[in-house]
Amino acid sequence: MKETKKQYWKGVEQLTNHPEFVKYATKEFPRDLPYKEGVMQEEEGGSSRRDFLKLMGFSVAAASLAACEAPVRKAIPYLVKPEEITPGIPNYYASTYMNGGNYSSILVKTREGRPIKIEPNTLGDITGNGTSAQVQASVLSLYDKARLTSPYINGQAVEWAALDSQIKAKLENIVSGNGQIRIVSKTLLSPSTKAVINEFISRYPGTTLVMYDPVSCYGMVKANEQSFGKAVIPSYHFDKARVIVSFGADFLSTWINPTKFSADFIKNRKLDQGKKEMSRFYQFESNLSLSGANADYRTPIKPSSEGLVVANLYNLLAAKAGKPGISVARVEVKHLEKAANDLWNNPRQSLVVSGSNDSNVQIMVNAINDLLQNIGSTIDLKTPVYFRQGNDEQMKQFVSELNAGNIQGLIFLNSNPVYDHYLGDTIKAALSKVNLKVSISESRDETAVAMDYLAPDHHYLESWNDAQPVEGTYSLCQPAISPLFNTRQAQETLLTWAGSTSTDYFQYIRQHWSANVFPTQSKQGNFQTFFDQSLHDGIYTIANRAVTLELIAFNGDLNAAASAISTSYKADNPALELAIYETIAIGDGSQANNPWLQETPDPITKACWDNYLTISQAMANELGIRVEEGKTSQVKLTVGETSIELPALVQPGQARGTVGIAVGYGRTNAGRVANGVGVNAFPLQKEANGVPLMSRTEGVSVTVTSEPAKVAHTQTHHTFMEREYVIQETTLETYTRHPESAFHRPKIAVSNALEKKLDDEVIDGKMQPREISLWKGHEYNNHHWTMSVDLNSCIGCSACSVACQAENNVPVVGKEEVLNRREMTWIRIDRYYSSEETATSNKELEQAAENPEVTFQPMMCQHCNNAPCETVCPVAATTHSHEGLNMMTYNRCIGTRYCANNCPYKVRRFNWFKYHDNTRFDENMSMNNELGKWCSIRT
Amino acid sequence: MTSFDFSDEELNAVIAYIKDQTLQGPPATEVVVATGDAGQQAASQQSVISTKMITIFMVILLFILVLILVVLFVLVSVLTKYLKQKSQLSEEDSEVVFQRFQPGQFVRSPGFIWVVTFIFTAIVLKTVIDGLFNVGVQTGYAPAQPIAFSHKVHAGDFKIDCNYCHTGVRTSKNANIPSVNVCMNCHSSIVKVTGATELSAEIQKIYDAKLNDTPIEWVRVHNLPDLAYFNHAQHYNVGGIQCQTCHGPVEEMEVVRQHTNLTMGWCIDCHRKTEIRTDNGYYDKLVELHNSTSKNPMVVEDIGGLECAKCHY
Repeated sequence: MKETKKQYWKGVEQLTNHPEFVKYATKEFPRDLPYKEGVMQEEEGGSSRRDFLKLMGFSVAAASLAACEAPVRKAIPYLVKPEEITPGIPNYYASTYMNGGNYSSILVKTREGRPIKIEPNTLGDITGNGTSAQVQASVLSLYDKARLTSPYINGQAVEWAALDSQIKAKLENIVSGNGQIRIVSKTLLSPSTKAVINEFISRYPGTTLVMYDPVSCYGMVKANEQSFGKAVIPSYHFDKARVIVSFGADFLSTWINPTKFSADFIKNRKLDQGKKEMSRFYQFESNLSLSGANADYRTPIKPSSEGLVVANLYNLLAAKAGKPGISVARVEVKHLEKAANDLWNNPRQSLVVSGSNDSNVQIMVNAINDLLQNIGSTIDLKTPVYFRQGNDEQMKQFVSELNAGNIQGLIFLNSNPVYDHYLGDTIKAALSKVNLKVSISESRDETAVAMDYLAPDHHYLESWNDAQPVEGTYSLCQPAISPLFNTRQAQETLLTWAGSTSTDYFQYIRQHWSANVFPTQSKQGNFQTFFDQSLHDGIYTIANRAVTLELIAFNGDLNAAASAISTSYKADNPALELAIYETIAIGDGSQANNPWLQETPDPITKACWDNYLTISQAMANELGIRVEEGKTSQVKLTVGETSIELPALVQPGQARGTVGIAVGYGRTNAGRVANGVGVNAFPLQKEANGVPLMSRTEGVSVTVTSEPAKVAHTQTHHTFMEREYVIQETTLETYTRHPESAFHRPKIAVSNALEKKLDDEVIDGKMQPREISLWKGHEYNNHHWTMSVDLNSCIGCSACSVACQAENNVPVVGKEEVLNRREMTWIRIDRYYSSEETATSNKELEQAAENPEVTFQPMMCQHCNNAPCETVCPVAATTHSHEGLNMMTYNRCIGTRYCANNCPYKVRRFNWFKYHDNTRFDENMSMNNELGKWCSIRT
Repeated sequence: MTSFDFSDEELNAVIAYIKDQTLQGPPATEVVVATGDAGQQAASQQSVISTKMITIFMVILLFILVLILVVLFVLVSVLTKYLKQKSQLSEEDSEVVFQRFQPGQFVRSPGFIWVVTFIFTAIVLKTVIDGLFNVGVQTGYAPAQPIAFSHKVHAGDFKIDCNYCHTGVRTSKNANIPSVNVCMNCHSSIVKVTGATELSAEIQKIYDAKLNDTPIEWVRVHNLPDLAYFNHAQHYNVGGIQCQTCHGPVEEMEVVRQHTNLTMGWCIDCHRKTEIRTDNGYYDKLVELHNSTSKNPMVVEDIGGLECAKCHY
């Protein structure tokens, strides 16, 4: 450990020891920050001693006046208290989070009938007994004021009956004229909903359901159909894989089912008694993703060469297997040969995945997995997952029909393609050709504003629903609160329009389960018992599902795929390329109006409240862009005919000759929080063979504009200077041989006089600080609490950070205040890059930032035994508990901020403003409006 | 009156016993039982002694002071007489010797003004400080409730357990005010007040609440500030504290009033004195550790009962 020459750095500023960085690094709260600007403008002038006395006199008078008449406080009990509710004690209900194809089996914590927190459901293993940042934050979206509060016709709030009669009449009209109706939806996981739609279709023939995914996996489904005769996405078992090779699939953050993949991936990375092996993980990608950051070997590649790299890996493996190779151009990329060797040595225990939507690449990946005999071991095609059911070809056909004016009725079911589909602009323009336009979604989003009829749906926490996330597993979603607004369950809306005899969706689900799910088991003889049990558990898995055992052989046309790859990919494309990605917090942007997610820094860039163009250090040097303390340049990105302006951010690890941009931003009709934050990158996707690709390889150019820009990134805030051993890491080999050498134990210098008095070994006048202490220490007679984080397991996903925000009512401060280094999150995930040497010149900087290693370290209060924060508090507002906790008595604090100044981990936060009840912090949804406050936890 | 068939001998013995016991005073053990707290008893005994001592000391002091005063007066008059007889004093000296006490001059003297001002300021300050310390303290607060519910009748006369209505007290931080359905458990059949012939107007209000579907808006009597955390279940279940300890003799109250002052000092005071209930086995090792270093019984303070963030966080 101590011999290493590794340098850990949080950003290029630190690596270069930029004067701005050094200036701020030692300060928790930089004094020369513009704290009188922005939000504080009207409080200029400062205050004098006289003002203080005046204020104090007033406070005393006010307090005494207030005391004259105590305010009458009411205590209003329930009229009839529900049996299961005890005020003050939370109740938990098993339910299901669904947002398009994003799924999580959850427990909803409710207090007196208000959902306040989401916890993972540990029954069933579909989402790896975990949740993501988006799932954690979804509870706040329930209380979003941007949600629709009633049905609307042409912008006028109406009653449901009026809406129903008009729509039914119009639907009737369309059907009688043999017109076409389309229901456009994101992935539908619910079998009952599909049954409802089928009922609707049989009532209104000419209706078709079109599903799409904002970030599509259709190419993969198509490839699997060609390769294995199954148009599905298989289950992947990262826990069974000893070697993992991923081509741009960010499976730890956004790809298909990341929570499960992360949990599985980590199972094979944990060392245990007797287990001394870890899986090896190779990542080939353009943008530095969360998966890339966690990879053992990461190779930056350009999107234009991705297909060729995959094909070359096939050739390397085919050579080992003695099979004929395919004729593609040879590309030399680092680690590919090593990956091939590793894979070959681990047949049936390896896994190759690709995030590409190009079916030819996916066929190649299938061929590789087949060569390694992974089909049936780490890849389970017989237990397909249904998280991505979007069909790009169908969607494309729908758009062309729409354009041709062949569609008379259009229902958008919880989907917003005008914003999140790459053909959104075309759809928007063609909408005027449709007679009946209906949106069934929760808010007046970009698609809904162009609709004549709005039939708002419940939030998922107000809904009944079911889901089939994976073959053989079903889960139920139950309401945890009565509907807040005059909304109606989407399925009930459809059933009403279909003229169904019963529009009660709960009964509908029961019937569906009674007919389809109940017969799959024999344990419960009574349907009611079975349903109650499933509802209680939240999830039901068919026991001993009969899976046919015949091997699925690869049957794809490898040569056709190879020749297609040869034409569409280039070994050395000189042009600048664009790689589009999804961030872990904002995702496809459907929850963009959630301030918790907006303020969650991206795990890699550590920037929040914006999207930006990630550029390599080399490109930054070329363009003359300097990023320092959030200040950067606005750049103009031109892709084909589209150009957009956005800030540039230097991203170490960005493949040379590429730039990256995140989708999910640039919402215009999401609500107060997300509107105008960032730019929309969905339209930048390239269509190839009818499917959208998340990259552009031609016609990309970047020019620097004269405008300055600011990116609120937290990476360089709260830096430990001169404390190089906050991060400790070592290799598996060192650790297994000499576990002790993996830890650095800092030593302190002692005087000669002291040396003789102490028993401990003193080498070179230095010793371990066991016997000497400035402090007397504390007696711990009672419990002594500790919280440990397995740093080997942490992948930096930020779910804990959002969960902490939800649990502790931590305020959101907004972009301006993050720029002022005043973010309030109690848990932050520090991301360190590491390289061999400090860089002094631009050239060295480029080298260091080429492909650095990334280490994540969650940082929160360490509850030090001899806590520096406690000793400096002049009013004893922060004290030590006899159970070893550093406690904070907020009502005693007078705001000296000495504690923050003295905290070696820089985890102390200061409420600069009364963030709650402060209209200047509008984005503080959970604190600044009556509805949002329902989400806060009162203990 | 019942007549007792005592012999003279026996009567003498009884009288002798009474005399003897009266002279001895009450036995010490009895007092311990009465207060139920050995430590407190010792402290109170000690304080009794010291108060007595102080009184005696003060009386002696007063006696000595009066004696000195008398002696001084005698001295002055003797000396004045002596000087009169001599009458060879200068004008200045005679002015000093034969000066007369002038009340007007005395009142205007700076010393007197200073003393009076000091006393006045002290009294004002004391009143203000006491007043400020009482800001927000609502001891005796007994607001009128929407229904004239009598705890005296329910908890006192009919001896209904507090738990029956305040169900949360065992499980939750809140003791909870009962909902109408709890009232209706009994009042669906009990409709008249004892002795009355008609449906009670107050009981009618419960029915109205149910019929109109509007909950009853009780007025909170015990208001803790939001910054203080208090948990009923912890005190009732774990601590075994009786409701009356904080809420007073509720079973005697027609209208519930705030019995204690609910200030932080009051909380802390109890945490300093109250011994931990150790019969649940949970604290066994802790008690052992505590007893090895201290002679005093383990009180709430010893397990962190005075830590700020126990209640303020």
